[in-house]
Amino acid sequence: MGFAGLSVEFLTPEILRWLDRLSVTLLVLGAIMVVASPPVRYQIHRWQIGDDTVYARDGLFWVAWRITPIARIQAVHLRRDPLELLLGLSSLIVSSASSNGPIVVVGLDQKQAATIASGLERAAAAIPGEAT
Amino acid sequence: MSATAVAWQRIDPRSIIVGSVPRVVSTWLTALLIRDGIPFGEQLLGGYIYQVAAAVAVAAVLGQILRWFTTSYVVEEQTVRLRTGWLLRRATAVDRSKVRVVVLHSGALARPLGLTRVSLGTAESRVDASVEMAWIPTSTAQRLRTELLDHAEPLNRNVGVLARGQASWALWAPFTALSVSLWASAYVVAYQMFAAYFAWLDTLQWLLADRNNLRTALRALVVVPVLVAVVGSMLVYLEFWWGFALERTARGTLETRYGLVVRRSASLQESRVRGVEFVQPLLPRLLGRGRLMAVTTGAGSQSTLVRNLPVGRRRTLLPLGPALRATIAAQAVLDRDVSLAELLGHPTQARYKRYRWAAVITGMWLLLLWLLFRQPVQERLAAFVVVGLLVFALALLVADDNYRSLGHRLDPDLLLVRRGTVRRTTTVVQRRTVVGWVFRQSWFQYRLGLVTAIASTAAGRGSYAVYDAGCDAAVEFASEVTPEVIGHRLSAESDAQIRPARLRRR
Repeated sequence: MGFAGLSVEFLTPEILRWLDRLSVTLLVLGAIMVVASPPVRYQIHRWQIGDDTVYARDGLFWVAWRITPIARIQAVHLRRDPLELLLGLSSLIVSSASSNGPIVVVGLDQKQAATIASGLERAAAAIPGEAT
Repeated sequence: MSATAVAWQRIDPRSIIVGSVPRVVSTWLTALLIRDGIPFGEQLLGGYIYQVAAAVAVAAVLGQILRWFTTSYVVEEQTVRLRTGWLLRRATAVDRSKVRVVVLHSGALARPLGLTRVSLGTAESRVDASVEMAWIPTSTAQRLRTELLDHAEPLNRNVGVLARGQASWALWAPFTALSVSLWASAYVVAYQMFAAYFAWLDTLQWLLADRNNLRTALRALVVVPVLVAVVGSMLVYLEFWWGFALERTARGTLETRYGLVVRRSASLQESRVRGVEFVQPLLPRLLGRGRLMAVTTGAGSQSTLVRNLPVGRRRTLLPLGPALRATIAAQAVLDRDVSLAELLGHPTQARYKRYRWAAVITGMWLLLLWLLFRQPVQERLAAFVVVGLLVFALALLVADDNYRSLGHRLDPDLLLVRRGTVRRTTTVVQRRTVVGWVFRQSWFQYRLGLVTAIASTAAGRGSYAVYDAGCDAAVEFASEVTPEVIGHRLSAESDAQIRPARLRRR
């Protein structure tokens, strides 16, 4: 007996066949995701900076709308990962004092993102208070 | 200690004793367990278990001596500094104005020695940014606490004891989740002991042989564990919460004191308290009981700062007790005439959603059982059907209860949210704490016209969700709390983007 014996017994040819099928299915699904998800995400990802709020929407089957008043902004970050750097893009990350996650706007034009970020920083700094 | 005292202080030399004893004892117990508890245990580690344990214990004591030698702290005018560590040194500085909670703890060993552990909590949630002085003389600790929380601006409110616990509340302690697990473990232990003496079939024969045997078995398997669990949980409750008092001090802090053997106390800066939370585990809820917790900014909503007190306990405003007393305490803390009941319900679709989920999940489980164990199930089809129906009914009951737990309400400056079956939580937070909103809508919710509105807060857990609210109601609710979030958009053209309700007509 022992764990080794158990596992050999457990992996019968039939189960191995099922595992094969499962991996093939996962691979196919993954491939579909890789091809289909960028255009879909591009279509559904929305953002807006209003007079006193920052807003972003994301998600297809699980939609999330995130809204933060500019008065409650704690920090504005710009993120450029290697790919974004290559494509001249930036991500805008707006965080508040809550641990509920920041607002992330992915794939903005670098210049535009920088302008927005500095504008937001100025607007947030102009409002007094701790922003909590 | 005045602000001019800037000399570095060592921790008390008796810390070595307080730190060493539990380590030595636990090492010895572990060695004992390994040697006698597991098969072939005495042959492990080449048979030198006790020698290894002794070495570990000596190392632990040396470590404590080293810790005493290398740990020192200083309270400056602006900053509290702590240095500790030998090979891995750590120097921490905490701005005094940022100290939000000071917790004193003295355990069964430290108390007779007149020692106390002081932990300082700030908004920073990183553990390594916390300052802990273990252990220093109790009088110094108390002075430190007064001094460090001095900067809180005093509030113009009733000062004095706001609420007290009662020893009789311990009678309900056996119904908490913790004691349910205590029941279970007591039962398992008794069963194991019993089963070790009698093989299963022999036991059955022995039981049926004589009625007296049956009685003995019942006593061993049911009565004793239940008694142990009931009495044990009451004793634990009494030891923990004995003489509980919640007091508002003139310094602008809320202080709690409790404990029989280990005397505990915690103080929260009142300017950091953003609301209260009424927590009701399932069984206490059915008996109209619950405990009251504070919702605070900083002060360890997530931090693991104070090891001796589980994070939740530190924020306790009233231990498990009658709902009425909790409500009175909540009103005193919030200084508002707030009711913890009478919340607005959610749309009926939310109930159907839960029914549907309950049906789908139980159905899938039953199907899985059927597929995996077709042979044995078919042999006992009637039993399978009966059990299946029972599980199904139970799931529907839980779903219904979960729906009835949903609720929300807006008071002039407070936001109330309620949810949960196994652990129903009614959260009351000040509206000004809300720093944003996240609306979430799954495809199922979209079909039912529901949306989950999550208020992002700078306090407590960081977010409080109004689950499965009606689309329009959720938007109205949110815009009433934070007008700038949605208010100005209601008439604007971008309305379609921001209103979840509109998504349905897209």
